[in-house]
Amino acid sequence: MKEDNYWIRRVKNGKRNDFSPLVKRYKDSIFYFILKMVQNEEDAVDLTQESFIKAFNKISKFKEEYSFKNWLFTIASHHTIDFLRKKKQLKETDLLEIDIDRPYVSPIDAVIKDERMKKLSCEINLLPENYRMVILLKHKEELKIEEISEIMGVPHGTVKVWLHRAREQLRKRMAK
Amino acid sequence: MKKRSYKDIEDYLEGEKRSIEGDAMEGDKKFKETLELFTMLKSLPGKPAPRDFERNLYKRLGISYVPVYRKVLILAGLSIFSTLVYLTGRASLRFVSSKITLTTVSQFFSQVYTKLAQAVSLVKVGGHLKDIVLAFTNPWLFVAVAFVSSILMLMLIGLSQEAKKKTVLLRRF
Repeated sequence: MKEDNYWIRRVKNGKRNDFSPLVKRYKDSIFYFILKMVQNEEDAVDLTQESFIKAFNKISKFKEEYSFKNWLFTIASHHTIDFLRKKKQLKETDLLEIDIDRPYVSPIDAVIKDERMKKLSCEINLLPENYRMVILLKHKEELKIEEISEIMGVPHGTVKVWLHRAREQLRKRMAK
Repeated sequence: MKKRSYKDIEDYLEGEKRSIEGDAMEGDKKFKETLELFTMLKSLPGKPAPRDFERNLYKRLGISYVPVYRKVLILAGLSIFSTLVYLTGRASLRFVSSKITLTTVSQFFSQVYTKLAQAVSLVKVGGHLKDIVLAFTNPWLFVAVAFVSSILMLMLIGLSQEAKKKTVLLRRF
C-alpha cells in the first residue's frame, strides 16, 4: 500500500509514466476478475483497459488513506456491472435461452487441467453476477466483508447473505 | 452436533481454532466439502492479461512504454559497451605508461616541435611561392626578369667555355 501511494504521488505530480508499476501490479487480478464476470476475453481486455484509464484520469481524486487495490476494484466492478446491464438489455432473449445445465467453458477452464478445478470454475460461471463477484472478491482477492461492501456499494449484511448463498450453491453443486 | 458456520471454517483455515475444534469437525461432511471448496477457491488458477495489454493501454493513455525485453537488451548493450570502453581504456593506459620515460617524453616533444616547425616553414614557403607566382603575373616584371636571367645565362655559358681553356682571361670582364 505504501509503495502504491509512492507511485500515485508521483503520477499526481505529473510523472505520468509512473502509472506503469501500478498497472503491472494489478493488471492480472483485475483482468481475471473481469474475465470471470463477463466470460469473454475480448470484452475483459477492453473493460480492464477502460478501468485503468478511468483510474488514471481520476487519480487526482484518490485519497491515500484508502487502498488503491480496493479503489481499482471499485472502478472495475462498477464498469463491469454497467457493461453487463447494457449487454443484458441488448441480448435479453439470448440470455434466456442459455442452457443452465450445460456448463459454460470459459478461456480459463481451457487452461485448467484438474477436473475438480474445472468443475468449480464452471460452477462459478453459473452463479448470478452478484454472487460471483462476492465469491471472487472474498476468496480470490481475499478482501474483507467491509471492503467488498464498499466496492460493491451494498450494506455489509447484504454481502454476507450473498456470500453465504454463493458458498451454499457452490458447495452443493460441487458435492453432486 | 453443533452447526458449523462458514466463519468457523474460515477461522479454522486461518489457524484460529478458538471457536472450533478441528478433530470434532473432521467427521462432519459439510465441513469436509466446505474445506475443499475454500481450498480450491483459493488455489483457483488465474489467467494473466494478454501480452500486448500493457502496450495498448499505454498507447491509449499516451504514456511511453518500453517492454521488458527491450529494457533488458538496452541494459545488456550498455553494459557490454561500457565494459569494452573500460577494458580498452585500461589496456591503452597500460601500454602508454609502459612506453613513457623521461627521455621518450622529451624526444616526443622535440619531434612534435620539429614537425610543427616544418609545417610552419612549409606554410611560409607556400606564401613566398605565391608571391613569386603573383609577381610573374606582371608582364613588365616578367620581361625584366627574363632579360636579366638571359644575360646571366649568357655570362654563365661564357664562363663555362672559358673554364674549359687552361687559362681564364679575367681581363675580358
